[in-house]
Amino acid sequence: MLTYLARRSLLVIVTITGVMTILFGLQKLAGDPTIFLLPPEATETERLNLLRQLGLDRPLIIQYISFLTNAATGNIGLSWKYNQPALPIVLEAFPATILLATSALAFSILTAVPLGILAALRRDTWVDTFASGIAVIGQAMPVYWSGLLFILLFSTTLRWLPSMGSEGWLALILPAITLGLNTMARIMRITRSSMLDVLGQDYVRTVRAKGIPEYTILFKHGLRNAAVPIVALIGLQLGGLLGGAVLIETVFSWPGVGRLAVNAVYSRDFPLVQSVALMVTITFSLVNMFVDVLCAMLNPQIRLN
Amino acid sequence: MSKKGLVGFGILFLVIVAAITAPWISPFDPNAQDIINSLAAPLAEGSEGGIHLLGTDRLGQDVMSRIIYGTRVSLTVAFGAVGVSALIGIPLGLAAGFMNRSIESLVLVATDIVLSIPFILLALVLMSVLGASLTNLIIAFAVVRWAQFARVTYSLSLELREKEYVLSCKAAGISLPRTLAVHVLPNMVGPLMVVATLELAYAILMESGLSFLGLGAPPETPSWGGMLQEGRNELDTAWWLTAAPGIAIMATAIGYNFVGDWIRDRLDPRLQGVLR
Amino acid sequence: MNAPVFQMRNVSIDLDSPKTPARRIANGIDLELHRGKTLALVGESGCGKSVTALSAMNLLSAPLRISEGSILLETEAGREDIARLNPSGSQMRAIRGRRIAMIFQDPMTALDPVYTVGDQITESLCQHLGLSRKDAWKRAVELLRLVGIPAPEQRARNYPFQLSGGMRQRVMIAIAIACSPSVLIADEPTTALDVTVQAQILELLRGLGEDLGMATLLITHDLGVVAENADEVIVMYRGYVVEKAGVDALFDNPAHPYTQGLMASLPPADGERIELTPIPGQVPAITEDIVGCPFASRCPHVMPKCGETMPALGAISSEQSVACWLYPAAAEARP
Repeated sequence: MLTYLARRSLLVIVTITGVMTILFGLQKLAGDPTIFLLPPEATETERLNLLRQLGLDRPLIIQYISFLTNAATGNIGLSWKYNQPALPIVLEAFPATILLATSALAFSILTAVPLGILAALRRDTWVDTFASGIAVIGQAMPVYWSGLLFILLFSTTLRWLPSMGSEGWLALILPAITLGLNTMARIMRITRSSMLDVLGQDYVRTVRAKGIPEYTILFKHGLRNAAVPIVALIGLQLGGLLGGAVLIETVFSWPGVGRLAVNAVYSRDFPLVQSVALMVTITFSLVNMFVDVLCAMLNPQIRLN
Repeated sequence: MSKKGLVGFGILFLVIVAAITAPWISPFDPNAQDIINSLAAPLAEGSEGGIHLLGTDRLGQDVMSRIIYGTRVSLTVAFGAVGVSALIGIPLGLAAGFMNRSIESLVLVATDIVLSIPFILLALVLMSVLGASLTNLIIAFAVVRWAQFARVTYSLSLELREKEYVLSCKAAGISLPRTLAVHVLPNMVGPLMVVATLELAYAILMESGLSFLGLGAPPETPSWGGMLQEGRNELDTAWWLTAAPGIAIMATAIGYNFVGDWIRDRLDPRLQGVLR
Repeated sequence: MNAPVFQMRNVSIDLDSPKTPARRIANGIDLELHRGKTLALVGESGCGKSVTALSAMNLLSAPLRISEGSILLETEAGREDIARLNPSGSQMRAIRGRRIAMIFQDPMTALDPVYTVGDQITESLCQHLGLSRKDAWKRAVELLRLVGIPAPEQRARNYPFQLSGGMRQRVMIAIAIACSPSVLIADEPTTALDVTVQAQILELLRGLGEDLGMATLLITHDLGVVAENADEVIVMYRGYVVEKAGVDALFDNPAHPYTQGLMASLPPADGERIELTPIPGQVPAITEDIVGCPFASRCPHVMPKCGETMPALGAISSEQSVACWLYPAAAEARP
């Protein structure tokens, strides 16, 4: 277990370094930033001065190494737009995104798992059809489109819920549900299929032959055995949620890192985009590591070896 | 064929037919502006005759015609993006599965890295660097999603490389490329088709997402994502601008998903596990 | 012989199908189990043995169901027809694992992989006997010792994947006998095990049955197992009981052509090398409609009558009955 943990942590470090490398490469691909930073009438000397100031006149490999070492100490450079360190700006917007993503995740787990179990238990009845209908639609709806439809229905027409901003709990409801819809569909599908798989296993028949009540069979044996694929999928879905947040935050004007990233892309503020990508990746990698370890713990065969 | 498969293939057939016959079946020129008829409701009459079945947008362009022409962008991007991803990902997955350990870990670490950045975020950056165009959309997709194909191909390789018929090829001294082409790849076609359909659905959702952010197809090309983005500004007054392209995207995605489900249901159960 | 603890009377099992009429999987099965005795149910795969076993626990689930007959269990409270009980009701649950217990074919898949074997034994102890977790654990360890597992204190804390197939089947037996049931149903308990382990498990089952006074229904396709472990035998063919006899009578004088066929394909115990004769053909599929005796298509003694009506079981001696037109004195058309 310890070696597993060590190897898994190493993978996180390698992943983050890899992502940094990609981001560095993209920055270089984006070309000379001074074109965006300086007014068009700036002279060649001003341009060269700025390049030196940004450290962009040094050889590529030195730039790369200093990019990595700076990043390791939390220094990703100045936001070109705000002219202050990029990372703190991202960190300030980060809690809003985390709040949105965790609310969306909570919504999807709390609806998908019970519905998935019910669909498995009442296989081929209207409950199952209803659940799979939701899954089909939830997986095929573009997230921002469902957001727009929700705004149209609940804000514009019914005037029940606010369509934008982050004031109060009510403002969280629409964006969280919109963002969670796709994840909910996926979790429900896997809950249904793993429950069906587990409930058809020989060991469930053994438990039934022991005269154990159905709810014990369902939760103690069924759900416990179906948990590993469900938990693994939930971990993977977090990436989709953080990505979806980019669109959802734009639709609902939610003040998180997604909207920050989109705006930074529009204004070609590269260090800011890099900081967002980096923070999101680090979060996703750490959560995934946690989920992998959790899955390993849930499986005695892995835990004991 | 199951009901699901029938519906799936039906939708895709319609989309493909619409893309091919767009110039003949579209009631209007998709870029013809009719300012007098700006934001006309569905079923409104055009100023030069004809019915705007799905209404018009701010410039008075016929929504129905733009939806029909939008199938071209949708198909081009989806098949282009998924095709390129598969062409990169499958060989890398095979290399990881059948060549030496260092190649194996190199490919696996690379897939881990690429898949740990939320796709839309990386695509956002790529599109802003490369500039908005259909080709760049395809490139941005392939840069990330090859990893999905590589991962599944690798998992399938693990399953197949222990098979007697593959081992006996090695024993008989048949070259690796020949073994892969003749004995391994044909057995992967089914599961990889399932991945491809899921990726097709993912690609059109992402294409429309990027277009929505203004980083997808250029504005003059009629695309569903671009139409949605325009519709957003008219949400309160012209709901059809949001509804029509959204339904088109959703229906197409459902079509791909159903075809994928249909293929999956017909696969060897042991290979299905890999697709989880 | 004293009164049976468990009886199946004229039990039929149907397979419902939404499109076609229900298929009959088992036809009017009659059997009796006595304390400390073993009844073997023999037949090729697909003859309805396992379905009969599951029906004895009222464990059939849709599309299978008991369509006719009664299944009678003697308890202190009197005789109860469990075929009348709701299969998922609490009365049925109180019987399963407590009065009637079952051992399944494949011990590799029959234990829950995420709980220790100790936990899986205590589960029914807590459920049926109301033992505290601590007492139940102690009892579980004793049970493991009773089924011949060395170092039971440590083994109780093991997960199934840490045990061999034979060990797991011993655990299954421990689970089955945990609440001292009066009836034990063993569905091919040794088929999935190594030959050397098979004998040990059967010996254990037989010993436990006698010591604890359990009535055992042993389901098997292996006549060798029958010869050594059963007191009485029922031979099934495609949903029908075709012969019923004491074990000695059956081996001395197999009456039904199907039983004779099974015997001819069995190597003799003395190791003498003779030619084994397999029965030609195979069991007709359940989707096939059959008029008359289902064995007619493979029977060397087939008569025109066989294709018309299936005979009922008729006694040919005090401890042997057979359902075959070859015995006109005993045979009689099924009602």
